[in-house]
Amino acid sequence: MNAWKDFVTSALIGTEKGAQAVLPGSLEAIISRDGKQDETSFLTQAGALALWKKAGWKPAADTKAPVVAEPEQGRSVSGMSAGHLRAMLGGRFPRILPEWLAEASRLGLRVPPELLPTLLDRARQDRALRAGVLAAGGSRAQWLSAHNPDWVFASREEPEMWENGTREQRVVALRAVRCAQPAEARTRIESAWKTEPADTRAAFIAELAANLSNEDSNFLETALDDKSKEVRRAVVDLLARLPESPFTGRMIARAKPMLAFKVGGLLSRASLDVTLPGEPDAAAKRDGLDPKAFGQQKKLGDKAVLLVLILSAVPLRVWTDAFQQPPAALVKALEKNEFAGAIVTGWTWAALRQRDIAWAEALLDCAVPPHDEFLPKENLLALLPEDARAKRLAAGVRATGLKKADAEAWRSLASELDSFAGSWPPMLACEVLSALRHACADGIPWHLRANAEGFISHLPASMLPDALKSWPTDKEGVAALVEYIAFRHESLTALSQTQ
Amino acid sequence: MEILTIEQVLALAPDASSAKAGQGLANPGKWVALGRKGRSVWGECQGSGKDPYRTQADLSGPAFHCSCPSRKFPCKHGLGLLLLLAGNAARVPEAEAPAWVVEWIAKRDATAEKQAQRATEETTPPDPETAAKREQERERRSAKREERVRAGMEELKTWLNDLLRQGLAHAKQQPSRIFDTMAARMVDAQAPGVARRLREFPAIFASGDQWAERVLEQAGSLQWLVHGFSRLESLPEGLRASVRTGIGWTTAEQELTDAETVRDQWQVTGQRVEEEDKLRVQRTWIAGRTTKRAALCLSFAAANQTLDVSLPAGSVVEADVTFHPSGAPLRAVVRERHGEIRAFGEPAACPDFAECLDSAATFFAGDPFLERVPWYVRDCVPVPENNKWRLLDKRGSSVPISPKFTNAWQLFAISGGAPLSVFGEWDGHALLPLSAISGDKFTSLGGVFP
Repeated sequence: MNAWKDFVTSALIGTEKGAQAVLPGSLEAIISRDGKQDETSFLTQAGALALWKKAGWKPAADTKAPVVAEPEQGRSVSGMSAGHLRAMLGGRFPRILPEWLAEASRLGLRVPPELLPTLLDRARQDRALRAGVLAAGGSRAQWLSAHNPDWVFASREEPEMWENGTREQRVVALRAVRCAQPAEARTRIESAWKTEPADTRAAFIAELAANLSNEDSNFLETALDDKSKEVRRAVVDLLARLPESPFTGRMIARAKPMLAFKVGGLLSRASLDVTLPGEPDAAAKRDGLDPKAFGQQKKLGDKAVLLVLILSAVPLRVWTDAFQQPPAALVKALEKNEFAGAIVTGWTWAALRQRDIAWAEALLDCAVPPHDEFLPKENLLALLPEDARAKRLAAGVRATGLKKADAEAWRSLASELDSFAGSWPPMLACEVLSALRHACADGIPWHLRANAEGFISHLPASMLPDALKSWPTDKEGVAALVEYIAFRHESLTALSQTQ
Repeated sequence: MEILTIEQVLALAPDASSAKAGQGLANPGKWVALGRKGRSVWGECQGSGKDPYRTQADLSGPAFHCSCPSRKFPCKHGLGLLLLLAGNAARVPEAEAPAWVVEWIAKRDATAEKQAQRATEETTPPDPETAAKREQERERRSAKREERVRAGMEELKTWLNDLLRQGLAHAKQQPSRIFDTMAARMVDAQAPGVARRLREFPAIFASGDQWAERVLEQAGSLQWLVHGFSRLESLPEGLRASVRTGIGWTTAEQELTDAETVRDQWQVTGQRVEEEDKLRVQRTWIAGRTTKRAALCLSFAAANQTLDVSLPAGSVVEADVTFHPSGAPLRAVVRERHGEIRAFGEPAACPDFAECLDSAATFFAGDPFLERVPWYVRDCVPVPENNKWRLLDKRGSSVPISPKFTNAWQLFAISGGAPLSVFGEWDGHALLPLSAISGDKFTSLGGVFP
């Protein structure tokens, strides 16, 4: 409407600068009575025109309808469960969210669509939520995410990041390739090798840990000559997991003269004799044998460090084969040895690299503890099957009685318990629960505040009704914990009730 | 007695932290002596004090009462109680009401009765002499106000002329103070409606594309208030009321005795709270199932005051609703309720935008000073377009969705690309959705999602 445009232009400039606008004929007759040309009549006419325009507003006709989402397979969660979800998204016990989403999708239920934007936003920030949100979000989540670039992770295709992504994105892309085509991933690293800085090379090398095989051994062998210490360390760690690599062969040759097993007699126990390695030559240094590998420390001498490094790279069956003894007997035999700590550390490292369950069991029973500070942050327990692990932990909890004040014991229990992805086997859950109840008799001790909810999250769902009972709820912090148990129980059980 | 849904109860929360705290209390373990009977629900909740708090709600309101010291209303205990009931009614057993519950309900009934009585008393004064005196006093005051407003309107006219003479481009460079100063003068002139519109100017100047059009529209509208006031006597009754409302005259509830009253099953179609000059203003839209009338109920609250919670979105209440006089009556008050709140059914809605726009035109023609009109349409889809949103009807017409609408992705998710019914406010340029019905599910979109 041109008349309106004229009025707006005139108004912008100001009437004192002479601009004037004219009404369309159809309105002229109604409003412009006196023909006066002052500001008041200008505004009166503009106001009338604006109202006229407003009342005669016309919609546009060129908007395209969106593609309709695929019909949903499952039914929606009940109103009560929707309330639970809203509460968790609102900040109440968000720790339960992944489990709740998994349970909902297991039951074939779908979350209410109006909560999907919030869920997708959360999943964008928190990878751990993604699978659950996508499963419980159903086809609606797929459809919705296709419309918002923030939510691309939810659409099926990940964009190709290898060529031009950031280092983190390239690592993610590499990880995906390594899963599907291990050789292709290695070729990519080789082609990028010359041009990438040390920290990038180290990050790429670490990705070879997945699907590691003898085919990787040639490339890794050449990478032993890398300029960067960090890269060489990562390479050695990978080579030590390949029992048939030339590297491992060299390590076995170095290790064999160092240990000798002596069978016990009537009056003497079986024992291991140790011969410490000599100064490392150039070849040994190339294989990562550095007396200062653990930095400045006073626990192990230079030669003991070399012993640890050599043992950690030798397949454990070399020893069972050579001495014709089971792991438990060999572990037992070294207990009195002067270098027991170094040997246990080396073997533990080897067991972790080789994921050897029998050796893990034997080493866990060993009276001499390994020097954990020199080892990767993994745990021998995690190597054991769940049942065996649970049995050991339960026995541990029962035997030590877990004193309330023993913060260290609780902390290490928490980290061991975290090796269970889902809920604990009932026998272990019972032990932990009763220890926890006991420790909370006078309120939750400060060192348990951070872990107590985590313990509760690992209780099997079927135990929750019992877990709700016998708490001193009037003691500090206990009521909140019980509430957490109750919410977890209610929100999970509500999912399987239809109304 | 109809029990509110979890969503409806959460919509009553005065803020997000109350909603969260209320959910924390929706747990039977927190309560002792839970019970309900008829419209009453009650429970005792252990707080930080020595004695447990006594919390109760009247479902017919809904109304709340709690012995806790919180200034929020409803408090977290009241919300928790109703959330508990909404989540699983079986956890709040039928029981005999304790004395403190019976007392409160009786007190509420007595207050309601007294109010009704006072309303009749005020309309029928005790004796002719007092009545005449009162009438005289009222006339004196209203004449004085007329005079003040008249002077104010003259001042406004000059101000508008200056604005126009210097041009809007010049005005855009001015500090927003000049609008506040003028607004303050209009408050002194007892024209608060004009003052409010003046205070909106800085935001309109800063509203981006086509700001000049919107400024001119607002200025033109003010000019028509001036114009309308100058010839008030010659206007038809309805329009006269609209001009007076636009300037800022309000009608007290008890003065509405002769006003149009409509009894119907009123569906609460949407609710939105906005800040206006340190005041929270809650707009609640209701729609009559039989009469197809739409009405707008307002509630105001300063800092620690509470907004009306008796009309939860998505519910239906049978009531007498009285309209404020206007050329296109919309503003209304719920007078007397009949029976209890019930759940929402399929409401009356327009089949396409053409009909919505017709109805909007009728509203704007009846009252040119209306800022927003109700909009209810079936079979439409939200569409994202260049980082903006549009709503598309089944005939292929589309209208823009207001940039003020923060729940567009939620609305889009609910639709799944398929047609749904949308209720909202139309301001002549864009639509602000307040609720949607997809299938038979009502979703309130006026509030904040977690």
